[in-house]
Amino acid sequence: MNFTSTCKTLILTLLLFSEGGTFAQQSKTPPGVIEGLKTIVQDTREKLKKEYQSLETTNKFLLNPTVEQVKRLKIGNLFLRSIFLHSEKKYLEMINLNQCHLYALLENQLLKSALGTINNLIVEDNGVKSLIKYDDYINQIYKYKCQNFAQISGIFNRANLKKTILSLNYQIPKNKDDCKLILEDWKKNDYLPYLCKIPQSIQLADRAQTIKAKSNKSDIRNIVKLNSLITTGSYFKEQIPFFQRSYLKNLCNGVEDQTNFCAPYLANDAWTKIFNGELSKNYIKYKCLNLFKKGTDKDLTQLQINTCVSRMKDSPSICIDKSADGYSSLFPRPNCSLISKALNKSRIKVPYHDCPGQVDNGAVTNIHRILSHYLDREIISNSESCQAEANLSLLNLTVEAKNTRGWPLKVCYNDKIDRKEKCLDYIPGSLQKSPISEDKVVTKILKRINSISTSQSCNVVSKSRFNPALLEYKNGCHIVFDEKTCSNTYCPKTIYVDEKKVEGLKFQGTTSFDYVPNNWRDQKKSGLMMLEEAYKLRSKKLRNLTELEVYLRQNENSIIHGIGCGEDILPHVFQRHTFGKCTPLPFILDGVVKEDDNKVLVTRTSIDDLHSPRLIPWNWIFTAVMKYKEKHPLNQWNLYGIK
Amino acid sequence: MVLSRIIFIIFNILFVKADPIALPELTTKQDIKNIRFISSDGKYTYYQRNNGSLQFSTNYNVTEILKLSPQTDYNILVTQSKKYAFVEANENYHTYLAPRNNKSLYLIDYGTSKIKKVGEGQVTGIHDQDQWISYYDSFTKVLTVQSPISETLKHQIKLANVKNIYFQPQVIMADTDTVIYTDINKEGIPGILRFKINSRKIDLLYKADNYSSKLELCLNGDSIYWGEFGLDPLTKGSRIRSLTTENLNFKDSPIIYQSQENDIGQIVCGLNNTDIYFIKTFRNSIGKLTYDAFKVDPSTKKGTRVSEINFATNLFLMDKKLLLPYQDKYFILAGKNNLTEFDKIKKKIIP
Repeated sequence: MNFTSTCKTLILTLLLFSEGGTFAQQSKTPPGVIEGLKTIVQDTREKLKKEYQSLETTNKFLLNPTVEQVKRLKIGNLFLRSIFLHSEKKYLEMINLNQCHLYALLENQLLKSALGTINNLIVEDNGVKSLIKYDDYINQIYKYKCQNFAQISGIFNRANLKKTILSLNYQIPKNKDDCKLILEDWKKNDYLPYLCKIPQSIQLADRAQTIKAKSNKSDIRNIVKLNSLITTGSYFKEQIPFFQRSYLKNLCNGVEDQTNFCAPYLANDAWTKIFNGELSKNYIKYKCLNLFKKGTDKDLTQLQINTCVSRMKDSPSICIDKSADGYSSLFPRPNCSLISKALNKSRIKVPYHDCPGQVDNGAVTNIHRILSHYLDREIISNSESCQAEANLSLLNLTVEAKNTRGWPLKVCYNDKIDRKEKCLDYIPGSLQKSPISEDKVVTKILKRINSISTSQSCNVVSKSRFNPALLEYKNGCHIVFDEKTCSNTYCPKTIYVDEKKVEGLKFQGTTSFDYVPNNWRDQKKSGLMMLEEAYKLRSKKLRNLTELEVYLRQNENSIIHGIGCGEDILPHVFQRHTFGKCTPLPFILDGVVKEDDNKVLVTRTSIDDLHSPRLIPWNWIFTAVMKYKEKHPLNQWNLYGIK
Repeated sequence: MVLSRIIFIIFNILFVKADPIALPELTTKQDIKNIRFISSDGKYTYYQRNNGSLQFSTNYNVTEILKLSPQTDYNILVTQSKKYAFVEANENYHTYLAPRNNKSLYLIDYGTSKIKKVGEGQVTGIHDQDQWISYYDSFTKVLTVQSPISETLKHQIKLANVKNIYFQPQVIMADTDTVIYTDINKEGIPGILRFKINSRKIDLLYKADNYSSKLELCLNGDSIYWGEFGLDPLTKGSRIRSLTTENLNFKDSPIIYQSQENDIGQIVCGLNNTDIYFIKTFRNSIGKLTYDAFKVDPSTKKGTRVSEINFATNLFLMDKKLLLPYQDKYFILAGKNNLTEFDKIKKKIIP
């Protein structure tokens, strides 16, 4: 602020405080319910402690009680009061639902007294008080009361736990009413205290880990106690799959408040919508297959989708790092929450996965994404074929548009028969449907130069998969490439035939072409014009945000593409060190969101992971397109709606 | 009476706008989109033409110093030492839209049209009073530090990064023997490393806590300013710290600026002997995010907002001018807007 406005503010502030009387003094909160309750709790604690210590020191333990003895016993009033004051509301709620739950909760050590976890109860027999171990008490109780709980206890022991947990039906609610019914059903289930033991133990274990890290290592007693909790928690984590653990956690929290159970499953995030079928499963398919390390030719079961969705909601950071291994793209990616916000407004069809880092030329990646959206093709992608898929899209486009330029990527070799260098068109990567897929072309050449027999054929394999120790790789022809570093521009690869390296093949050429017309003479050869010529996909210039929003609204299936300076779209990635610097970056936009009070666009730049859209402010996109326009040979504005 | 005064006060607070920061817009004699470098005294201009020509203009003379394919794009880096101009030439600028593509690199003797090719890659800097240049190859992940005088005096550092193929290291030289650069380990966590030229030893000076951050380096004389900026809302926060070239203790270096937001960064230092500039993220009372240029005085740690365009993305130094590009303009944050004043024919005074 400058001097003038500072003065204005000062004057206004002085005026405000020069006038006006004193405010009424705030009255103190009168003593009442809270104070009274505090006194009761403190009182009970002190009395209970005294009573317990007295019984302990005088060794008033009831050991090996019989059923008859237990029948006469009642839990001491003070002790019972303490249980109700110190146990969690959800467990007290369970006792309300079924009185036998009191014993099940004691058995699973889910109730607490003023003295902490209940190992011994204070009981009375005709006015005589004594201590009894909780498990001794419960074992006898089950012989005459709540007998079925003895059986339930059996099926939740260590031998049977996993089988029991996996056998249960974990219904996911689809709406609020559905959720209410499911929860009511669970509340009637006698297993409930035993199920809630699991999330409780895991929570205690996590807490114990934190405490242990900060604890004094010489306090052996404490460390032993913490280790015990950690071991129990670890056991449950090992035995019980993530989805069930997550479900039980929500369920047990939902006993006292329905929202705690329902909210995670009825949330308005994209992951829940995908699970419910409101959004396409394709938005999550490749992420989840990657997380589970499953082959992309497999499909996801509903349970796997549930688990995956839960993981993304509980641990949003997994989308940043994991979920796109083998498909090189810009790192780090947005977190799952941001991706969810973007997907809520996204419309691009993505029944495949691509690998921009392996393709290099962003124009090829963009064209591949545009065509995959409009041609609605289902492709089973993997890290060995994703590069080839994108290149094939470009090849098909040039063929369909009757672009006579010729395909630029060649494999060259010295043909000894014809005694000259020959070059054949090829598409990098392995692709069954294409006759000029790299594996087929290399096979053809190696047969020609007698490096392999007529019955052999080559296959493309990534470095991470290639293991010469395995029988399948000892023999045969393998074109090995490093999927982390390989791209159209630079891809050192090694060809092995029966474990021996084969040399003499040169891979050359780059997929250079005009994405948008760069001169009037060759504009028909540009990607933009080829899309129109081949597939009748017409591009319409969009000059401002209003036009963009109207376009998206009026064309439900349409997406937007363009080129802008990377320094303005992704300023944390590209830095402008010099005057006029602009890294041309193609991108696709397919939605508008309000985020932090700004209009942001659902953006997939040509270097981003296809399944990890970003939210980029409109102003940045606008500046980026404008800056590239200044660099463009025809001074052209390059932001288009396409349909 | 009291009520009306209160209403008056509220009205003024709500509707009396503080004067915005008015930034001068850079104006030049030539078409700004072709310019690649102009010296602050207006004496030398390097600019390109659509036919692929890189031209040098001084004192009304224009010389073509390089001619490559039509529509070649050039970028030119010049430091305060002004011994060399380091040129990146991209012949496939409009036809191969690959950010990590290597460009042809050239060195020009500053203020002349004498040019020579030095390698292929992407420029990462000119260092130690123009005694060294550095450039990076994203494909081989090799950072080359080379003498401008002799190509044989060259050192190559292989980066560990495999996680982010679009990563470009930041490079400074603390002294003639010490290269400090950023890298990313196999988990994707950024770090600052030191390479000693004579011993060829590499050691780690600092490692970030997580992969959702970026590190930046800026050298001004003996002072190093380095920043750590969060990239994700889950690990928010930005810090800039300072240290000297004599004591490379990055971990314990004092903080001169910090914020709870993820600033864009892009630290610029060396404009004068004190302030550092960068792009800061601002959040107002209703949660709206804006991005503007900010300067910090390292000695007092006092910070000042220096622009109000709300959506700034980067800023850079061009020979004593600090420029803020926005849409189709370049605003001057610091330095004189005097490029149209030079070469004017002086008025003849008739006695």
